[in-house]
Amino acid sequence: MTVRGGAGGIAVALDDLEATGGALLVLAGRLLSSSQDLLSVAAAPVVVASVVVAPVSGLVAEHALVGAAGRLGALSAELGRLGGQVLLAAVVYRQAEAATAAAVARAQDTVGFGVGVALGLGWVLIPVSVGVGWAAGRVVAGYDGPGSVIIRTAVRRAGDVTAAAGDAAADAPWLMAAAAGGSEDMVAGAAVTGLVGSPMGLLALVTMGPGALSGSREVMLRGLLRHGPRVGVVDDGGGGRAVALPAALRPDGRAARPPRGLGDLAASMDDVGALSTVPRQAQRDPWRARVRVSRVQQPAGGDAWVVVIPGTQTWAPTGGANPSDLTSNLALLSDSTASAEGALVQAATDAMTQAGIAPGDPVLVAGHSQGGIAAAVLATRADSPFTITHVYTEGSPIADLDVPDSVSVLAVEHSGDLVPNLDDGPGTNPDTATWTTVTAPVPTAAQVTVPDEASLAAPLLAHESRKYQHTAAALDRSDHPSVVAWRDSAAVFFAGRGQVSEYRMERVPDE
Amino acid sequence: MWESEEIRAAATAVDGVAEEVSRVAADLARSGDVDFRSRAADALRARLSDRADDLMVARRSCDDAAAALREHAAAVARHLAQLSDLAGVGR
Repeated sequence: MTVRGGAGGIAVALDDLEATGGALLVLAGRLLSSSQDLLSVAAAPVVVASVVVAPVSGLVAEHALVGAAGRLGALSAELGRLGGQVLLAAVVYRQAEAATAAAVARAQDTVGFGVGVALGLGWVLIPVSVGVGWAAGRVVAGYDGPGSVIIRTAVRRAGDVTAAAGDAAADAPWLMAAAAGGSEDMVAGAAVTGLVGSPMGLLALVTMGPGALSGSREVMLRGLLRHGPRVGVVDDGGGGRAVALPAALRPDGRAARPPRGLGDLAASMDDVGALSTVPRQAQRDPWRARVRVSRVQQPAGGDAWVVVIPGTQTWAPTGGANPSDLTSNLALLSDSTASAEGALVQAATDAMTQAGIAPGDPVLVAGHSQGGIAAAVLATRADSPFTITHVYTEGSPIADLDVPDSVSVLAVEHSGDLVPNLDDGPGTNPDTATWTTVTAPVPTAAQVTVPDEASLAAPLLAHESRKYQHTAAALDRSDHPSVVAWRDSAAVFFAGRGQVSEYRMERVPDE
Repeated sequence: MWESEEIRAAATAVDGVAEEVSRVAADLARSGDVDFRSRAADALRARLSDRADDLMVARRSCDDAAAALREHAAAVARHLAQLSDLAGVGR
């Protein structure tokens, strides 16, 4: 498990280094001033003149004064030099880090573009190769003449090569993560193939317009949101709202009390969001689209609030009754200024208002996947009626969101989970005092098992909220300074008693 | 005798410089509390610690200078008194 940013992060350490460098320069100045004070005493007319009266003691005193002044002057120079070196080191470190990040981004873009071109061309080549392979198979199956063993072996080998390519992708998650980080360029690469007739490339060009060739996510997604509705897709439509859950459906058991730690919080997120852990019948239940709001009563009076927003629950490309869908996902990702917030954020805001969150009450907003994006978007809103002080996300691409420094972010990402890399790729979350990113290995099946674990592809398994729940519980025990500082700052959300309420989220587009 | 009084005042000023050097040493020790784990940071902390030690030596130099000034003030007072006595005998 690696931790980046936060109170124990590099940025804070560099801030510390810069402060140390500045402090050393100030101390150097004070020593220089002290040295000058001693020289002033040594050169004072009364002291100089008195040497004539008592030459031996006078010269001893002058020698002591000048010696001490010289010592202070030398130390002043040394501290000044040291301060300058420390400041320079901090500046160089920051520049080197920025240059490394830029190089990684360029590499991701290149990989993404290449994968996109391959995907676009693959759309053409796969049917052709499948067709040829099917025909060859028919021929091979019925052929029993000279060389049939060699031909069958060759066909089998070709199948082995295809399988090996799939295994290689699974064994090289860095390649997939890099491609996800360069996702804009992946679309651009695929769009280029549309110019030579690839259906996938043409689809990109039609739905996103020329933006598909731009390699800019915002331009692309804006194009998709503008052109998509013309062909009947990705129309979020807005109109998100919340409806209080009837008494019979209110949570009970552990879910009926506010979370008492990160493991508890992640369990709550799994309750409201994880579709893989509930039967398909329940997935279609309209009450599944829930946002959970916990009112945490503080021992000294007042309330703190924990809001849990679910991740994507339906991948339908058209806006339906459940606002936690693909369309709101794209709306959230399309604009880092959050002006196009979509129905999900609207519904969550409505639930928070109905719950009675007062303007000054501290609020922790948490979410898995798309729910995490919505949580971070809520925190970016300058006109928010709520005081969001903390954001907790699991597997969410939020690096591009301009979350203010007044909000403490804890972002947890599993290595191998591609979703959190859909922003600018791995390691691009801000490294600041108020933004901690934890990257953890995916818990094994022995540690926590999800339904159909054996059949799930590695990236999907890495994104499972049940797996994140296990990681979150481990963070409750972490002694990393950044994690400890985040937990301490969020203690008001985990320490008190309170009540839990839930709201069904729905989309009722404006007429 | 005014000269020796002024020299003692100068010694008091040097005491003030010595106090200031002690404060700088304390501030320097605090500035070494950098939460940065690397070999370079360890080297920086070691250098700051060495400089704090140097400052304590410098502080003792200031104390020595102040003491030397006070001895000088006393010597001046003695010499001026002797000169005054000699002047009285001469009259």
